[in-house]
Amino acid sequence: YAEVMLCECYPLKMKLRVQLQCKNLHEYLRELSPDILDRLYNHPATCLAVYRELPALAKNYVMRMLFLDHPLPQAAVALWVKKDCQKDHDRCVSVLTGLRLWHSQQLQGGLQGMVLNPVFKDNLRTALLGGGKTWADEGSGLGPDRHARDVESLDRYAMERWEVILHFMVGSPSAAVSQDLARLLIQAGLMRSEAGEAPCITSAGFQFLLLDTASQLWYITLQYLNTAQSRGMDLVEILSFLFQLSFSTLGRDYSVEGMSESLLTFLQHLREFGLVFQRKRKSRRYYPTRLAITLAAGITANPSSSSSSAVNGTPGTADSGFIVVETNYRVYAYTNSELQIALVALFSEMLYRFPNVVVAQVTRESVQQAIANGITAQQIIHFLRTRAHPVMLKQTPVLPPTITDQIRLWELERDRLQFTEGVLYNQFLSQADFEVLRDRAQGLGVLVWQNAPHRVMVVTPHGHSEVKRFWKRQKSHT
Amino acid sequence: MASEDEISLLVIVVDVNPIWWGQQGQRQPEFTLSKCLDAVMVMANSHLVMTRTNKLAIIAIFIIWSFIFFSHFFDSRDEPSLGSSDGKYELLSVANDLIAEEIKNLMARTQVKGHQTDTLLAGSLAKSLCCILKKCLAGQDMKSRILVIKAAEDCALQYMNFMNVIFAAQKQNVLIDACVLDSDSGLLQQACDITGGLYLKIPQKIALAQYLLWVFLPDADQRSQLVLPPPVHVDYRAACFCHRNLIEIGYVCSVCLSIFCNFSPICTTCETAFKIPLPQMIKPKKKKLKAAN
Amino acid sequence: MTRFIQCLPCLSLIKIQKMNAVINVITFHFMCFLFFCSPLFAFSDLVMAALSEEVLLVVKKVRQRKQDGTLYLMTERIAWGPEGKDRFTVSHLYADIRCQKISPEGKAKIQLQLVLHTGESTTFHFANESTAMKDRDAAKDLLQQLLPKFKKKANKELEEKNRMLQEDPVLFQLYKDLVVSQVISAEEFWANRLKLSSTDHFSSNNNKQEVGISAAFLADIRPQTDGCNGLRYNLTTDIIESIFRTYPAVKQKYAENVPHNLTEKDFWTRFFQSHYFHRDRINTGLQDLFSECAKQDEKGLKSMVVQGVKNPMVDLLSLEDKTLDEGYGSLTGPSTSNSSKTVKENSNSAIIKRFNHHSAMVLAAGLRKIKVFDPEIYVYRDTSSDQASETSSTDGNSRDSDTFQPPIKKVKLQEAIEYEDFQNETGPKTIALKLKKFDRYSHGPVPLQSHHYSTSQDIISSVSCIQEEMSCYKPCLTQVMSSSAASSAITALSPGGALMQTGAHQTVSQLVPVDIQSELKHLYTAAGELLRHFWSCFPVNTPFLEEKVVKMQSNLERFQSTKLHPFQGKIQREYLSSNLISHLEEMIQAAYNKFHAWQMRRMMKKT
Repeated sequence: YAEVMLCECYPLKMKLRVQLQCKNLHEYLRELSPDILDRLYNHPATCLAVYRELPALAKNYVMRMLFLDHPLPQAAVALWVKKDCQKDHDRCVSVLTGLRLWHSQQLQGGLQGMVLNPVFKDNLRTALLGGGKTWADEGSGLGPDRHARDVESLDRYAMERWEVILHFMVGSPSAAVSQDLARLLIQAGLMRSEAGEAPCITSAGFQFLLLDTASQLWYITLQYLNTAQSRGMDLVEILSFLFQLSFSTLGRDYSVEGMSESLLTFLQHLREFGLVFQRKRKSRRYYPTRLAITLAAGITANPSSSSSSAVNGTPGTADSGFIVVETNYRVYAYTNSELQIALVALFSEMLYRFPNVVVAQVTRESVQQAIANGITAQQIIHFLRTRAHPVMLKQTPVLPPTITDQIRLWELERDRLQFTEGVLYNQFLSQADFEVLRDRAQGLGVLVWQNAPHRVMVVTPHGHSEVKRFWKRQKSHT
Repeated sequence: MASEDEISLLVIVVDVNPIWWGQQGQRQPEFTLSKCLDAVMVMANSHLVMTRTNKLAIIAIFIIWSFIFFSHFFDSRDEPSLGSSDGKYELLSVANDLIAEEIKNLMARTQVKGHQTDTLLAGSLAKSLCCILKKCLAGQDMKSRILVIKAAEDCALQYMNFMNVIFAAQKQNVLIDACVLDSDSGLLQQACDITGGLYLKIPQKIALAQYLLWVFLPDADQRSQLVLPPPVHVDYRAACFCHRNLIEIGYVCSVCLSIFCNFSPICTTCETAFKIPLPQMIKPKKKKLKAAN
Repeated sequence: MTRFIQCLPCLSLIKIQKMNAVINVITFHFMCFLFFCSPLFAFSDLVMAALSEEVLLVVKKVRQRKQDGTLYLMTERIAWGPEGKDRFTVSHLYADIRCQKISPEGKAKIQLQLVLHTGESTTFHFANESTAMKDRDAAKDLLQQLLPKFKKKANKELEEKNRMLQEDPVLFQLYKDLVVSQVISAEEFWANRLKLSSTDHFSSNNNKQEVGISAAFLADIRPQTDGCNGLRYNLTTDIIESIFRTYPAVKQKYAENVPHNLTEKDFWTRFFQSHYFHRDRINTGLQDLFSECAKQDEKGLKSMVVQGVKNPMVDLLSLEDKTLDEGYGSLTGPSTSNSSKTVKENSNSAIIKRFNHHSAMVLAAGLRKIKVFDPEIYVYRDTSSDQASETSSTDGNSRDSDTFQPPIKKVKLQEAIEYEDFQNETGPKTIALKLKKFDRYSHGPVPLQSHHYSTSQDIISSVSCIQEEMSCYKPCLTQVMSSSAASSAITALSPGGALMQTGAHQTVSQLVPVDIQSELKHLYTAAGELLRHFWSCFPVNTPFLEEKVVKMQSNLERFQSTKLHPFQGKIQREYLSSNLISHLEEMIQAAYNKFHAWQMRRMMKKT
């Protein structure tokens, strides 16, 4: 048997660091199927939420066409912007089409026209102008609430509940969440559970912890929505309800009249998240908390947005700025919350602990330890920035540039290696063989690395099949 | 794209001169004050819905006799006492109901006094500026603009006050937009030109809402991207004080700055006598004339 | 050049170097087009000129630009001709030479460089092996004597002009437009601009600020160790001048002894050796040349102390130490410790005394009138000094009168007592504004508008109509607009619609490219300049103005034909049909009209 394996291929699989992906509303919606989307637009609240997240130019486009029943010629629409803003125009058009907010339609003269999605249009008009049915019953039908809650207590409740979840993730023994929630966290990849043991946090979970509350909320909600169908819930229903919540007013109670079973279950889950408050499980009314209202705002994971300022602004919430970072790498956290302290300890070394303040130092080892756990420098910086003390907020930039630069540099120290997956080809019997294959791979654009003296090369995984096929053909010819 | 952090305040100033609107109602029944107010509310709602941080509009309405106007800041974080019963976003229905309520009260209180039928444009603009400033001083970083919806004609006597208000607005970086229903207003043209806003005279009143949404809804950043009606050519020529004719070259009194088309040795406004040094050459001629006389 | 001095046998070997200070005039960068190169002579002229002039020095074997040749120094020029040739290839008038430079010591190439006013430079390389150094030095010395005679006085003016043109690009552009293109002459251009005329030149020298003396001039000498137990002092002429100005005694000694008894080097060697120079002057030997100086200094110091300071504002005695002495002031008799001062204290007080004396001398030297050699009038002239009369500080050696004059004392006292801020406010008198017709302000410069007057019946009916309508008003937003109304509005607002018509009108500034705009601006500046000259001639009183007005008229015509019409033609061909320069032409036409009117009147007067 003359033909011995001319080369051996070893698939190389390196463990890549997983990045936490935070999608925003539009990306999420784009992934939904068209009929779900159409059903989704049946509720004014959704339309309003989607509208709010459009780029500003697109909002203007939608408004301009809101009162029209027939399509506008595409050429006319193209002339709405000035010459040098053509790029923005194209972007808006792609966003609107991607979300199925408008589509093209043939006009009488045979030209292409653009028209707003009629369902979307009608519901947006309802939201703006009225003339439709109510979104939800107000609690006024039930009479005034004897156990009415005011805004501060609602905020406190919300933060408590949310922190329990975070505590649970960090592994504090006092935190306990329901099975459902634990399962959700595991499914979301934030925690990992070995058989029989209590779940423990993953690197994605670490990254999650350092996000601001609004982004965390949205991430969990998205995961929840992804699993909704498997639970037998109607995605459209719960999504609509979620948006409706986000447009409700803080401090008002709403009635559970007319909500279906699945919605009620959903409400219970929301209660656990801290998004609504219900005095008892069987209570007829519920209060949306601030978290629910900022859910819509947290939809775009905007690191520098002050959308979390709505959360930060309330007194008593643990997220209000409490961290002071000095240029000597000292971090002072004015907090008592175990959770916050644990979060700070993720990437810094604790030095002192006082009744109301914790002193830590950001060192190379601590930051690199955090990075080894999967946290990125950007997340650390984002964490510090979003929780910066009001005194820090007065200076620009908020964090001292030395600190931010140094954290990034420490991260880069670990990033000296870049991993690429590939398939290794070696043990070529002749130089000619190697060169033929190498050139072929290069021609296909799948060659990652080569070492001609040693006759070794690396090809990308999806190029591997093509190259292998080519090689087999070569072999059969010669 | 406007960032989330920026607050955009829109103040809508609506001219509800009852005399003009009453006559308008008789002239053209399909477009009455109610319709106009509806269109304005659509505009207001759209503005509030644009961004979470947009603040509406004070809606300031002005009438000559009773210097009443009302203003209210509508904020998405307000806690309304009423709910929505027709599918409208709660905040918006609260706003709309409040506006309607106030206008009804205002109209009910109006009584006819005297013969003057002018609308107090300058006064209401001044009040709007004050409210904007009050909100600015509350510490928030805001971009504000004023939209004036004008129905009746200009009142000539308000010129000085009006110009002061315009310059104050320019200093505060407040844009003044004008949507004119009936007759062109030179004052508002100047206001828009100076502050950088848009001036539009509407051909069709019933489509007022569409014009408002098309032209006046986008804020300054978005306006730079969109193609909008071009600015009107403003006639900045001054009128002389003696004949009220428009002139291009004239004489200006250095004391009171009044403009005249012909030279006169005494200013009629402030009664200053002008001393003009006569050129040397004329003296001998004068002597000759005297000798001749 | 160095000269070594063999000093008297003593412990230290001192070598003194004296360096030539390089004469440097303040350097500018002259723009080439302003100054043309030295007039190019025909070669024959050169030779003729050379032959007719007296040749002061001939140096053979001088290379220029790698060519062997001979250098000739004549009475008015320096010239060089290549070997074997008859003519000069390089010839510079002494008047054109700004300065000369020599190559430093120790370099293999011995060179002499001449720098001209134009910035050009010519380098001569003295290639004769044996005598190169001597040749070069001879040439240099001769040049040193000759160059000052030919220095241009007009430099200052040209420098001033240059500076102004460099600093102001608009002025430069104007100059280029007007003078270089021959529209007006340079004198007219500079007539109003230059403050400096020839008569002012002399007085400006007087207003030059006096250069004082650095207090550290002695310390700056900074001796360097010379290897074998010697010190090397570098004396420049500046330092020597400072020493002479500060210590007139030394100057006197110098005048007495050099060059009769001692050479310069010897003098300075002795100076530095003597303990007069040294810090502590305790042991002054009698042979020392400078021991008298030391005694004079002591006397001077004592007289200074006696004279004191006459400024009534200054009370030096309050600075004295008021010690309680032994016994905390309780002892009545004289303290015993007063008399005996330790040796250290004595030497300290000597140093302090010396230091104070030195500072006083430096100050006095700065204030003393100096005799300056003024080359223009070939005479020694006193420089004035403003503060000499005020202060009373002296050195014991000067003979200046420094009595504190009573009027100045009074002024000083007055200044110290009164404060401007406390005076009564006497602001400028103003006139109050009294308006007679106030309503003019309320309506402003706005034309009368037709007012639509309504009868009271109208008013009442309108108001009641509205009130009825509003009482049952309920916002009904869904019916606010029909789709057709909306679409007609949209048509009006789309490009090409009724409301978008005037967009085609572009301002001129958008149509015209930027370079045309800037050219137009230059034309405006130039025209403005010419018109200013023109209009300043009126009223025409003197014959000079008459001439000028006629000249300006022709200038304007020339400007119009050479600049405006081509510009207009260019625009019309390439860009616009509109006339951009109509305003310019109007202005020039107004000038023409005035000129013709004036000419008419003049002719009528004559007839």
